[in-house]
Amino acid sequence: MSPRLPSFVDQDFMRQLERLELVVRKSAVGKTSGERRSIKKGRSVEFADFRDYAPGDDTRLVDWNAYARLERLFLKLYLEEQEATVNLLLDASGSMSWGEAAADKGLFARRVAAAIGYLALRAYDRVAVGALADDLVGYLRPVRGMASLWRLWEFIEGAKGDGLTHLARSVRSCGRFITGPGVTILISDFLAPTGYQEALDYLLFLKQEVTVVQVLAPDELQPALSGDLRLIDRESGASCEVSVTPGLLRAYRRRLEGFREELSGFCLTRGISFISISSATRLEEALFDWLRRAGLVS
Amino acid sequence: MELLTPAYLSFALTAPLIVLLYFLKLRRREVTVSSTFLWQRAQDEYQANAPWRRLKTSLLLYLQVAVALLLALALAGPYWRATAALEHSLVLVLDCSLSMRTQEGNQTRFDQAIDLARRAVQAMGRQDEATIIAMGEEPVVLVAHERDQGRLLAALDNLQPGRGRANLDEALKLARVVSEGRPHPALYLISDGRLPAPDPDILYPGEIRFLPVGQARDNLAVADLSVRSVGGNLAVLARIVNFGAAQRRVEAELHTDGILHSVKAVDIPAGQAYAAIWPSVPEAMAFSVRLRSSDALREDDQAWAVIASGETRRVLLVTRGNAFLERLLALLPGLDVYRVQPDSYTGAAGYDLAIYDRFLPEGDPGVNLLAFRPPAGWLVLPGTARPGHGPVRAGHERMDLTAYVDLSDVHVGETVDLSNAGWGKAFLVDDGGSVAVAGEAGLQRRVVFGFDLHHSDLPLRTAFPLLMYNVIDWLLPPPVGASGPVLPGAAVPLSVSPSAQRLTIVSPSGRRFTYETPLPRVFAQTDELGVYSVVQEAGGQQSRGWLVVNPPVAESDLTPVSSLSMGRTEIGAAGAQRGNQDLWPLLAALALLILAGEWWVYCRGS
Repeated sequence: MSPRLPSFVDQDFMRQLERLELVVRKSAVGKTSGERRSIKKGRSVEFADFRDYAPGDDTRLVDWNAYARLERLFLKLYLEEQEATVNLLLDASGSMSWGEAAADKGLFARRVAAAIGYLALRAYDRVAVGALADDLVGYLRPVRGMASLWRLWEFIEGAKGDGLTHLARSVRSCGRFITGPGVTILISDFLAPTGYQEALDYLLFLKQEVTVVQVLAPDELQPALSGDLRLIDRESGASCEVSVTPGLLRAYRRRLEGFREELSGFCLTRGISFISISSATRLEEALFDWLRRAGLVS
Repeated sequence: MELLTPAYLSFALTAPLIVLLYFLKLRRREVTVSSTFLWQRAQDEYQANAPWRRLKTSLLLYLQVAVALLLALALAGPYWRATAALEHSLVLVLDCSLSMRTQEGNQTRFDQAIDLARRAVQAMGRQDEATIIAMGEEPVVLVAHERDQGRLLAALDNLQPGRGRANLDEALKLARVVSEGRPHPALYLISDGRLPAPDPDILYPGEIRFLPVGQARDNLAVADLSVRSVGGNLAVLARIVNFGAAQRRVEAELHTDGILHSVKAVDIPAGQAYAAIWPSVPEAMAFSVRLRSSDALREDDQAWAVIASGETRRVLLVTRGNAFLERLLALLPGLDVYRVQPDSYTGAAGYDLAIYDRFLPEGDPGVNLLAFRPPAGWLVLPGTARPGHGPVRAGHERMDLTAYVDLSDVHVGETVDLSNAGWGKAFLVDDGGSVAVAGEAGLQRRVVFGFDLHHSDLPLRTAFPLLMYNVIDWLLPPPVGASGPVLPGAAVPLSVSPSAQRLTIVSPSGRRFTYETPLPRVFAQTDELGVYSVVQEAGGQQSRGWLVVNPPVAESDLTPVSSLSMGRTEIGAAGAQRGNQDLWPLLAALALLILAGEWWVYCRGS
């Protein structure tokens, strides 16, 4: 009996995956050498960059030719190819189960995670998945090789939660399984009153190269509401009485932009890659354009 | 902008009521969202000035409040006064005739007229003054040159319609008098237009505006009622008129002395009259015919009649011999004539009429008298006789005495000068002056011919019997009461014996009017319709007469008119305010538009 395909997998999805190649900007130190380049500068044959010499640097890396021309000491930096563990942290809270059909945020997030996981496995990277809600609600220990693909996708398929979002708590719970430096991709809407800062700082503390993927539904970006409404929170059931007018809609969009800029700024100051995607975006567009722009795919 | 009825602005209180209800009854639709996280923040930012911010969020609320305010303002009757700076003197003439009692919906035409008058008063500027004239049979000035709107409105509140006709001529004369020398006089005539054509010579010194009231209404009326003795039987004839535009079937009741005698069902085509006859009815004093109908004007559905008196009247003829007179008096019905020679004359007490032929007693006989060629004395001052000049013709006074009389080819040979008979008016004249006079002195009626019948060709003409019939009919009125039909509200000349000491009149509703000597010659309390009983007491003897007040037929045609002819000018219907521009239609239209917009917003919002 052949295993049933996850709901997010179709032929189109598969064709796109084959054209993707994951690039991790920082290479991580692993037990097994992998094919993926790390943007962490180290010892290899592929030149990456120059930088000024600082006391204590390895003098073997000084570019003496440049010194002869410029009379200044520069270090030659090389890209170091290493195997990485890719941690996919997927928001499985109630707010992710939102959006119309194909624009469902949860579905979109699972597809993105599945695609990244697929690429990582093909690059002989290890892939671990954590399902986050008000705590860590599911965790797939690192798997390697294409033979683990179905197992990976089955786990991602089951990462559908219905609880509150508490990123800090759930990431801390997940941190017990992250034993060394690596790549962590956090996919969430980040619409959590408890905040995201602590969670991201904790991932950096774990020496993770963090990429934040914020997924928002179209009706969160451009709400089509009007009149006197009692808004019910999908996650908490809390209500909020509003009279939706053009003025309030403008205030909402201002707050949304402010929130995204705040999150983006937070990531920028910490060297975290940040992208914000609408769940209505076609997957290939998201995977090629958005992930390429963020340096996640080539 | 000014307001006709500022009190209606109180309806603007509905606006805060709507706001209150909005707060209390705001129904919110429940909508599930992925997270209220951002909404809560946006709401906090947007409602910085809560709760007033909350008001700004509801366009529907704004529109509803706007509609409430506009309607309240429209109810208050706003208008622009085009000539507010001018001082005006208004004369409001209100039609108080019977037709104004016509019921139209919940109001009578008179109620509508009062409403129009109230609006006109409320539209007055501070410098304006107004006079109110109630136009009935005898127009009355209720208030004159009044600037206090409270007093004017109070006068209107107390006004009631009458049951007679409206005397437009007298009303115009009154209006002309009160407008004399006033600034910018203007007359507002508020009526249904069922008015007699006014005298074209009565000119009003200002603008006249006709404010019509009423709509066309069907009506049935008993236009005439009479009782006659035919072959020893009493017959009642009623003329019933259908003033409507459709054939009507109606039942007419005949009452004798207040008791229902019979009912007759008749079909009357539109615009036509029907003569209903009861050929043999029992003896009674008063008769009435009443229609069983429910038309807009109930007052004209009944008419009354009394049977003419059959009493024989005693006449004393004092003459040395006058074949013309004696033969004529013998022919006139109802007269019991006693002839005496002047030498045998001892007085006229006990007679209803004394006729003196070429004779005059030394003192007033105390009864009505007719004299031919009297010698000079207390009746006619000494004067010279003169020959007749030209043919005799009717004078301009007492035309009723010469009614239907053909005076052509009548001459007199000699006559005394009657110009000094100050108590009388000439009803026969020739080129030389008065030939015959008639008049009243106290309760006594007198007719004097200045010529001897033997010195005139009058007895040879056909005019003679008719003229004498008219004269004696006037000299012998009913013993008491009034002769002929009486219109409601009209002042009625009373026939009272000169020797009567007490007079009692009882109206149809039982109101009693008692008079002692000197007895009135005129009775004006005729507002009620029906039969009035009139009783006089003279020398311990009582005699009873009747006074019948029936609704005027001219008031029964209820078709209103849209314009009036005033002399050579046709006056069309006008608005209630002079020089004012009503704004309420504009406001009402705007409110309707906003209401439609509110509905559109509501549909779009849901």
